[in-house]
Amino acid sequence: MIAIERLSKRYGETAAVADVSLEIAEGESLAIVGSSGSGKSTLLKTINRLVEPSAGRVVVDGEDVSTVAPHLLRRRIGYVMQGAGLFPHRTAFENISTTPRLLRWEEPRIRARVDELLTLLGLDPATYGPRKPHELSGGEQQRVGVARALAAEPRVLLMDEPFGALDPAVRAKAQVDLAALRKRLGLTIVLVTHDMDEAARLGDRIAVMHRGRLLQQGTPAEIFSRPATPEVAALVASDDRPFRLLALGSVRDLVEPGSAAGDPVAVEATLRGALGALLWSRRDAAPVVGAGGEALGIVTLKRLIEAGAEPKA
Amino acid sequence: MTAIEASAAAGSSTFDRLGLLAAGVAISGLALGPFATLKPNRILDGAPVSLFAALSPPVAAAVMLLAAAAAIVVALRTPALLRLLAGLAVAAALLIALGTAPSHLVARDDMLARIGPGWGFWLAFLAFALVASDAIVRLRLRPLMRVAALALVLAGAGALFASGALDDLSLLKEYAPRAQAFWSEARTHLLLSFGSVAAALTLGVPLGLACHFSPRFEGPALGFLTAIQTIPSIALFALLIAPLGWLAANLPSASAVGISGVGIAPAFVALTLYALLPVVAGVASALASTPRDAVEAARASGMTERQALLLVKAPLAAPRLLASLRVTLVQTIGLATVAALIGAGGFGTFVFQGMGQTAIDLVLLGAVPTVALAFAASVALDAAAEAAAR
Repeated sequence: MIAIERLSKRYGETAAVADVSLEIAEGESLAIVGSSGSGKSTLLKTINRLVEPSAGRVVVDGEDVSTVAPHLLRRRIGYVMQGAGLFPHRTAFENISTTPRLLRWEEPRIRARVDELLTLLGLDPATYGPRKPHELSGGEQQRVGVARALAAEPRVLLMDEPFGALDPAVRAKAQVDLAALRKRLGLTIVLVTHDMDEAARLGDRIAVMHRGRLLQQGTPAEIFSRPATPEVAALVASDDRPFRLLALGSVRDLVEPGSAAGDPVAVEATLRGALGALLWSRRDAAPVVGAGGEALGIVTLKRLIEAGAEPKA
Repeated sequence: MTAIEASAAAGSSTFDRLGLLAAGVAISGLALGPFATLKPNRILDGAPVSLFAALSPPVAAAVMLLAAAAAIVVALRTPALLRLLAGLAVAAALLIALGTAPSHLVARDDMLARIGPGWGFWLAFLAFALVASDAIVRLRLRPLMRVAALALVLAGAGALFASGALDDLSLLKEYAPRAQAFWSEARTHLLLSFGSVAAALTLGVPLGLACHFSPRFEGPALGFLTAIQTIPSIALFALLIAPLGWLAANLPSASAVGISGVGIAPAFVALTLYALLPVVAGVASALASTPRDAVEAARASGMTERQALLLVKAPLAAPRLLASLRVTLVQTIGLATVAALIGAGGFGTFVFQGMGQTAIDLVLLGAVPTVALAFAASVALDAAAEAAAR
């Protein structure tokens, strides 16, 4: 568990981070969102002491990080940065093995771990291991950067705009891969992004920062439906806000008894998907089926439209 | 494509611009300029001698034919390797031909007359040397191959000198009676230049690191070293005579290891001081130029400051470090010539002796090896920098 307690960071007269407190549970994923200059990256970097706070403290697993030597602390916390930040003079293999080597792992263990991670990230170890960063595409570099961060088997992964340098198609794939990776490894993730969609997709919870202050934290649905301040509202406000909100909910929440004709929708589908299916086939309701194809009831257009509307006060 | 465009395109692809210029310069130099100069003795002014007057007719004709053939090769668009061979062949042929001029022009018992190259020779020689070095660039040789090419050219030149074919030329007539002194001054020159650069590295690398880690230190340190750089070399040599002389007079151990107010000690100290600025500034700026991302990644991966320096910053800064070392070494090899003024020795000895005697060939005996040494050091370190960048 990570606890950020009343943390501030000042550079001269300006406060990059002002009195922020946050908790991230074991295995949870928290997305810190804000525009540039909001202090989100600074806050993230206080966790592995790339930035030293002016006041307040960070506690990881019950231990105040200021009591641990920075280089030892960082060997247990993975860190992924924008544009991957690979060492240009080292191969992918050497980049990934950085922290295990610092920890003096045995050579066979390092080799096995690097091969395992490259495979996990969809890169063939024999092909990609010997390549230098300039021989990799942006997406491949980014995956090697993630592998490097995970090499020493950290339980906490910090990500600073990890997908910011990727083009949209590669980016969407990277986001899906990260979600799968997290599930598989049970990682605790703190991710910084300026993209609210990315935050909603990857964060169990979202923390919104503005000018060094923490404005609101909550689940993506809470942030989208009940922005606490005008600044948060501005961040989430856009024409497709209803669809973002619907994308976060599952058909399971809106199932009601009854029967309807036509193609069924899956109970695990998003509300957005169900709405799309109904609009396209000009129906008011569709049957809902479980994973095994069993009938569970119906979902109606009326309920879907209500679910996408601004909540009543 | 119209006929005019086609012929224009064909025209531009038939000729090589640099080669055409070099060929024109070389041929007009050989045809119009003096191939050699003939001096009654080593001090008097020389008289110009044309190619056909300086050489026996068959040799002169062979030189002209070879130069003309090579001129055609380099003026046209030809493969780089062929251009390199053409350039080197003509340069070597010109030297060998010049070596035959004395026996053709001067009676065997005339010990005073001196034969040297004339400006026509120089134009042709330099034009073809330029074509050869341009061809080496176009070959895009790997660093190791460039050093090998340099070694081959130096070995060829050494063999030419050792063969005795050039022994009758004025430069080697100056060399012959001074052979022993020449090689001992060469050793001194190497000791002075390489030794002081090594000393500057020993002092300068820690200072450069200090500048890198403490910006507060960097300003004053570089300011002080820049101030030293502005002192003219002769003045700096003179300034060091007093303290080192005092040291020698008052510390028996200092004079025992050869420290004195004049000679090699003040020259060594001065050259080291001059070399400090490029070394310190080079280390500081090379380290500052390492990508921020890589340095942050090094820290975030759990490296200590020392590990980040050795494993990430130093290898990434190596090409720039070697580039600044190259500047330092070339500068010091040249500057070491001046050290002869305070009795330190080195190739400068011949330069200043020659100036005193108004014997230009003796000046060249000091200057030519200095230039060759600086050139060789530059090529070798340039190749090293490129190898480090791979």
